[in-house]
Amino acid sequence: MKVRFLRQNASLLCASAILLVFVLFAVFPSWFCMYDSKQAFEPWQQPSAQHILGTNDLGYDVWSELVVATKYTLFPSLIAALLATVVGVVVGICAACNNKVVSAVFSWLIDVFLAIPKLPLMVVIAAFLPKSTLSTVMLIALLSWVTTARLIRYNTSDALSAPYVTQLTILGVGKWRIYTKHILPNLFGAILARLIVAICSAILTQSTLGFLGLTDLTQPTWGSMINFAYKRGGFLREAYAWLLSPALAIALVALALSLVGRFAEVRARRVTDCVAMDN
Amino acid sequence: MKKYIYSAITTLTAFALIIVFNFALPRMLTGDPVAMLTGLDEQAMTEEMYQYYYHALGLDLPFHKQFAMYLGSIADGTLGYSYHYNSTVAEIVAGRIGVTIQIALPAVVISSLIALWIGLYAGSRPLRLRDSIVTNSAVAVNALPSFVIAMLLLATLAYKAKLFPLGNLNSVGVGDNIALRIVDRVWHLVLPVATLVLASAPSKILYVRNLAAREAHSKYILFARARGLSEHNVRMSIAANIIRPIVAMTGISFGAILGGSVVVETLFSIPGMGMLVSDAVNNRDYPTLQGCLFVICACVVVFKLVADIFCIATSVKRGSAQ
Repeated sequence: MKVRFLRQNASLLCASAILLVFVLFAVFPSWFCMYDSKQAFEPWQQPSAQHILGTNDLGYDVWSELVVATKYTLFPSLIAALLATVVGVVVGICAACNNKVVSAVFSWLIDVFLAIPKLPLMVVIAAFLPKSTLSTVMLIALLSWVTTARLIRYNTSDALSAPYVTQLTILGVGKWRIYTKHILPNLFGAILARLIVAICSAILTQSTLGFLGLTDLTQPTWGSMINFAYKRGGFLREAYAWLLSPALAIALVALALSLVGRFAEVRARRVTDCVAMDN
Repeated sequence: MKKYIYSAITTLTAFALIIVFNFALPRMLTGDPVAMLTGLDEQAMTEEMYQYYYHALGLDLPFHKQFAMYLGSIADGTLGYSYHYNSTVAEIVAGRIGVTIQIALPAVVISSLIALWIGLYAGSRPLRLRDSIVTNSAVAVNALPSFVIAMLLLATLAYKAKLFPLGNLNSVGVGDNIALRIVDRVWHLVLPVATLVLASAPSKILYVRNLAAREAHSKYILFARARGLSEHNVRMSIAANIIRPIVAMTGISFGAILGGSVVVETLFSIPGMGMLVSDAVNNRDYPTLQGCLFVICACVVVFKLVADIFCIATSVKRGSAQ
């Protein structure tokens, strides 16, 4: 029975193992780094026994920088995704509620933000703001809540059209109680799935902003590592370890989060599908 | 008719929001507004130059007059003046926007077509082997950010295998033959367009696949298969039913692709709008940034309006089907 569990959920377990490793990198970086990330050795070394990924143009060990950059990449993305999901859920529920004025206003707000191109606006605003982690987090959250709101709007309007809601209203249960005790628990599956995907897209967005040089440059992130590697001649000096290892890290974390998110999505849909089939 | 008006108002409100943002951002934030609006270093200016710029930019006027001046600069087509390039922003943008359209439009069309084709192929028989392969590969490629895809393509196809050029739009010494120049241009554009397609297609494939999988469980598809219609016919029937959300998705994706072109143009050294944005960020050339944002949003708004109008025009009126 244990083998069957492992085989059925193989991808989920792999994804969770990868995420666990990176979370350990983020929370306990000193366990994994051999050197201090700002200690200068001979620059532009290729990967060797002393430096697993070589050194960068200032002589810093690339592996240590990568491990230290994990927490500066993961934690801001996590906070931004949490913020975006909370705002998205609130706006989505308001956009699907029964009050005509409120739902029209919030629905229109979602449609307006859908039409705004995210990355150009983010680049322009980030250029004007002082470069700090807080501004990056707020910026990503400001423009990422829309997808969540759209999905929650769809799910809430589905949930509100169920017969039991009408019955509860007839029985005299207050609107607030219906939303918090009945509708919201039904949405938890979808919200969790969206949260995981939102973390994934926040990491990708933050890497893109870091690549363009718009995040806090004193705190190394994976995107800014790739930026420096590219701008300081990594291609020409064949320093592929420096160029590609942050990219591989981003890809692994994003892939693991996507797999976990898909698993959560399938679970959420199975729950809602059962409800639909009963009707 | 109401739906047309609603969609037009929504999209134009988004545009108006961006215009107001463009206006308010440099004036509201901490930091010297003259430096923000001209991009010049305030320590390099003498006091009288500073006062000159302060007056010329209208910073001593009340807020609503400043906004009127700003709207005027949009309306008369100059979009502001860039002190870095020493010309009006409109001239700089006009020279570059053609290039970005050459990259973005093929990318949008190709990625939507690919997504439609592969998504239908995977979704028409959901949860089979081909669906698993397509879905898992799409999830894997979706996890790569666009600049990683660009660097991988550059490193393998352009640098190592030398199949494609490393960047730029034209090779030197192609000559005046139009056909040769077109071929050369297309050869240069293959990798950037491929990067944009690879970056945007996976999420579209997953979306189309989900739509198709939902349709594949319906009764009319079951009947069509039982009747012996070919798989191609079945897929076309599914496509006819899901085409409207796909057109809406294409409209939204144009904005995403224009955003992705910022990174792609920087990496491939293509002198388009994206590279202009990236350079302007590095040079702190704020007027150019604002002008670029305005033009990019205008393109996105137009594209989205067209897609929305198509969706509304082809929607089935209630009560007309059975």
